[in-house]
Amino acid sequence: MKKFWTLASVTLQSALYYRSAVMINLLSPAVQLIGQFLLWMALYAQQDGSSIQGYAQADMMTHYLLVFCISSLLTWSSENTLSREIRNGSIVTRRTRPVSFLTQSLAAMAGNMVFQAGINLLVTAAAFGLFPRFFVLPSARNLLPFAISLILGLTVRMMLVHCFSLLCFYTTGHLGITWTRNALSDFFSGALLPLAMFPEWLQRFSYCTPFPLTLQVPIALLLDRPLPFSFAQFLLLQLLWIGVFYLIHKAMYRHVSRNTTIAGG
Amino acid sequence: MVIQANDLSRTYQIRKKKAGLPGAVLGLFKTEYLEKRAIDHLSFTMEEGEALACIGENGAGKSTLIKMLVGILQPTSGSVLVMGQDPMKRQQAYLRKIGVVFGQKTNLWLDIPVEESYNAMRTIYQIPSQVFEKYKRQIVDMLDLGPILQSPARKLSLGQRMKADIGLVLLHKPRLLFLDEPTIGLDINVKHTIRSFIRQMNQEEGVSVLLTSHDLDDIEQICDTALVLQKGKSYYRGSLRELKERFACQKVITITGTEKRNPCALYPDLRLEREGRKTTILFEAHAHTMEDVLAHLLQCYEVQDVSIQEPGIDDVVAQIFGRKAE
Repeated sequence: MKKFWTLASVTLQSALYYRSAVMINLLSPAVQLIGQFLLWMALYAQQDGSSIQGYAQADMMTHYLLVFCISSLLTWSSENTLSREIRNGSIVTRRTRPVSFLTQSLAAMAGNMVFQAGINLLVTAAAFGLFPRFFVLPSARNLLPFAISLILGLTVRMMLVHCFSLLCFYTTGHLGITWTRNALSDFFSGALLPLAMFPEWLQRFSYCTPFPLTLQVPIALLLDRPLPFSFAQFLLLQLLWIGVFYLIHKAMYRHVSRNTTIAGG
Repeated sequence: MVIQANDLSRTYQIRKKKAGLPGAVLGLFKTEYLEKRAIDHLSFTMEEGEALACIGENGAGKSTLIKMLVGILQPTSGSVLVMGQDPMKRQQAYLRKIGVVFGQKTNLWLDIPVEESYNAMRTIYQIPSQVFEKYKRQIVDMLDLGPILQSPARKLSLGQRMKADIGLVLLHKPRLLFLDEPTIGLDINVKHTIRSFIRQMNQEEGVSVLLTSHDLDDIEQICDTALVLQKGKSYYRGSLRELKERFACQKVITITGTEKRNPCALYPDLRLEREGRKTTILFEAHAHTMEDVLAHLLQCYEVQDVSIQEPGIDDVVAQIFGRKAE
């Protein structure tokens, strides 16, 4: 774990080096959040304050506030970084360090995530504290299940992002990979819409994918929203998906290691 | 024995594209590949503590060989053991024993101070704190890195960055150092510092060195032995001295003084290059002995000064690869 945190710290230090980039990256998710708030306020205004699919306005605002807090932690960096390293050849360095490729990848994501997580937490706490009437304050007894589910959910998401980023060894189109992953993730995780608003067949399908485990499930656990499985079953599912992604990583990395051509002198 | 390569080959597949826009469109649907063999049934060994130069023209397979030995490129066939281990397994114990420098790539994190990269290495390579601090001080002093330790690598000049890079890969005291063009693009002072440092590591710490370089001074100042590659095959494996003796075809004598009679009268095959009172005389080693030519020249000149130049490795390489030495 020491190696993991050292690499995470190095990534964080590198990320903090560019002040303007740090500020833009920190603030851009908040712009998206404000857009979501304004959109849903307009929609609820047309409903005369009644609920939509069981979500009252405060429930919806709280959902999006938490989506903002969690979802913006892992966005573009991984595929972009790996693709750049592959194109300029510095991937060689990663592959000659006595640390597994997966550990390096997860550590880099964790490093990029830490600062954003701190800011998001502050923004979320400030929103709950300053505008309590717009939000539903979560119950304290839900905090522990939420925290456990969130940590496992983030791990699922980091593994998923890592496996997608390994596709960069096969193509130079890293933007296409990131967009595809983001689109799938936003749609099925509950970032775009709470899954309760999907038709039932689509909800069932969504819960067969790993995406809701990264966002919808922790948020629903915190806000006491109905879920198709119990807390324990979701924990098992999260662990299962971590295992699945680990196996996918092993298979892909084995193939990558055997077939990568590092060109040039 | 640190390296044992048996019948090692590596073939690259290069995508063949037909010319022009139609070719580019056609390439979307039909792909043809050309095969290029970079390393061709190469077998060699390298001993512990040896400083081995891998010499060859561009495309001879030098970098490909290093990448296979490091474990980042899978051989197409054959086998290789480095310190008794298969590099392709890339076990952490193996990676902790080697250091790798690719001249055009950096091992440093670009956006943090050099010292932070060094400190990260302590954890990554699991170096005990006291050992690390002592060795770091030694490396910083030897490479004169003190003034740049607090600068982010991105802000360093190429020479400073390369010195910092070489220091970084030696922090964990590797037993085997792979250097692929470590002095490319550097000025003469930095080159000298780096060569002296690597030589010292080899001589005093017993670090084995495998070096590829187009800078023949690197080779002469760092290495004692050579592996000459030609089209991926081993052309020569042995000492640098023997390589020179076997392949240096010209010998050179420089005389300062007044010419009494033309030396070419008796030895018409001597080549003279006159510059004021200084004359450089070149002759084919297989045609005359040094003693005969020198005795003859002493009769032809009123000599003020005479010097005999050892053949340089550049002459040897030029001879092997059929070019004229510059």
